[in-house]
Amino acid sequence: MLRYIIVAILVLLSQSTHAQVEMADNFRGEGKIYVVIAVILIIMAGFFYLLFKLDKRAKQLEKEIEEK
Amino acid sequence: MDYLLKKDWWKWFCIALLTYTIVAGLLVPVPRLNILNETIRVLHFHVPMWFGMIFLFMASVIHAVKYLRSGNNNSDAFSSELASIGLYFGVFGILSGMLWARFAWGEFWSNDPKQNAAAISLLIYLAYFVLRGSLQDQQQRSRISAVYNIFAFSLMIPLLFILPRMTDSLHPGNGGNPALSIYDTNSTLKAVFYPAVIGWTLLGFWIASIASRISLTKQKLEDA
Amino acid sequence: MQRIVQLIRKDLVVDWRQQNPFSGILLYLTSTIFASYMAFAGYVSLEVWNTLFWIIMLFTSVNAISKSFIQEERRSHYYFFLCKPHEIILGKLIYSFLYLLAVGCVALFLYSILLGNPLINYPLFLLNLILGCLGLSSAFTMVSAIAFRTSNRSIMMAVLGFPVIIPVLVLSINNSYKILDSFILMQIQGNLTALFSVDVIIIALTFVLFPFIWKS
Repeated sequence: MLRYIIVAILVLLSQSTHAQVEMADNFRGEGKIYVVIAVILIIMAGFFYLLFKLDKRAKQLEKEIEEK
Repeated sequence: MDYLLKKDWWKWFCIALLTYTIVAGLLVPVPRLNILNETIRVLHFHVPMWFGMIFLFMASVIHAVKYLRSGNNNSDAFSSELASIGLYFGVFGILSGMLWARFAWGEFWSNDPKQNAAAISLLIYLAYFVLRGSLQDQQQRSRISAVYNIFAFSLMIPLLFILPRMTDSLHPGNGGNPALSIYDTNSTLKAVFYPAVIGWTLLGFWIASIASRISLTKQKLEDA
Repeated sequence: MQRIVQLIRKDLVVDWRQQNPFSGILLYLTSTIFASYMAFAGYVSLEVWNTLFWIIMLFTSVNAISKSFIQEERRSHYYFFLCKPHEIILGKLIYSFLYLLAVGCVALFLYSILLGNPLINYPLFLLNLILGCLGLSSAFTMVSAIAFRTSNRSIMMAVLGFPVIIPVLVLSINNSYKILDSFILMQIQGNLTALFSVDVIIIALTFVLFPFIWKS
């Protein structure tokens, strides 16, 4: 069963790349652009982590104000 | 920092610059270079982390000096929040740089003076936070950590000039690597890079201002 | 001026009377050098000789100078009324420089006996050693004044000190390697000047910042 699913997915994937619709295929075709994307993702993940920490501090502050 | 807390216009400026950075940074044609290939585009995302870090640390030191001169608790809060956001920028820079280095130089860490200087500046500010953690009395903590902040930052600056003289840098634009002339001549790269630096730095100040707002409110609450 | 001399003399007398700290440092030095002799004897290249020497100097100086303020705990109130912070820090800087220089000479002596002596250009090596000791001693004096206020001093000494000391260490290791490699004064003049200016920066910062620590 699993095998069929995998095959189906692969067929779908290969069709989509063969399709004559114009896509940014070259985008991933060459030149290590993934590195750039990974770099951006790392930085974004970092900023989200930072935002969560700030959020936590703000929540704590809210709680303290309520207690008072 | 006081000014930044009051005004809002610079946040819109920051949003505009960063939008421009992401769009132009990914789409504008870049010089075609060996090895670097498309990864030359990390110039707009990875390198500004360092600039942002340095600017944030500088602002932190300025507030440390202000604290020592005035004894105003707000300055201390600004100083430590700026330093902590700067530290985050440094960590982002080092992680993204290591990933990039894996593809451009083949190793995560390769004894590059800029990498080492970055690691040292992170160590300094980690030590700064350890120092803050180990001092109980609030006034003493503010004063002594301000002193260490100034002392360590001022010694970091000669380091940035000394280290590159000891070993050749692998970074593009150093010691015979490609791209030295391209940084100087290619105006399209510059046209994205400078706004990117300003944009990311402003984002850092934005987050730092939120953080200091929280800590100032907390201080007020404790005083009341 | 007279006060500074008195402060230095006081430190000297205290160390002379106690004898414990200084002989402790000497023993520390001897055992480190002996341990590295056991580990490295036979295959010491010039680079290893040089780097090992400076690493030993680094760890010895952390231990030697960490005491400079920490031992003052009970006396500090006393000074507070007697002397200005500038005088105290100047006295401490001079004393710890001389102290580390003495330790450094002993270290060089023992080290060259056990691990061989590739030195040719003594004056230049000693000049570099003096500049290196000046940087190490003054940076660690300042750091020990900072660490004096914290709860876990010995760890804070290392944590705060090592990132700060790196410029001095890198420059002096590099210089002394070049000196061993038979460079002459003209060739390393730039690096020596850089080392000297880092020392000057450290001392100037210490001078400006110390009163703020002392006040509390």
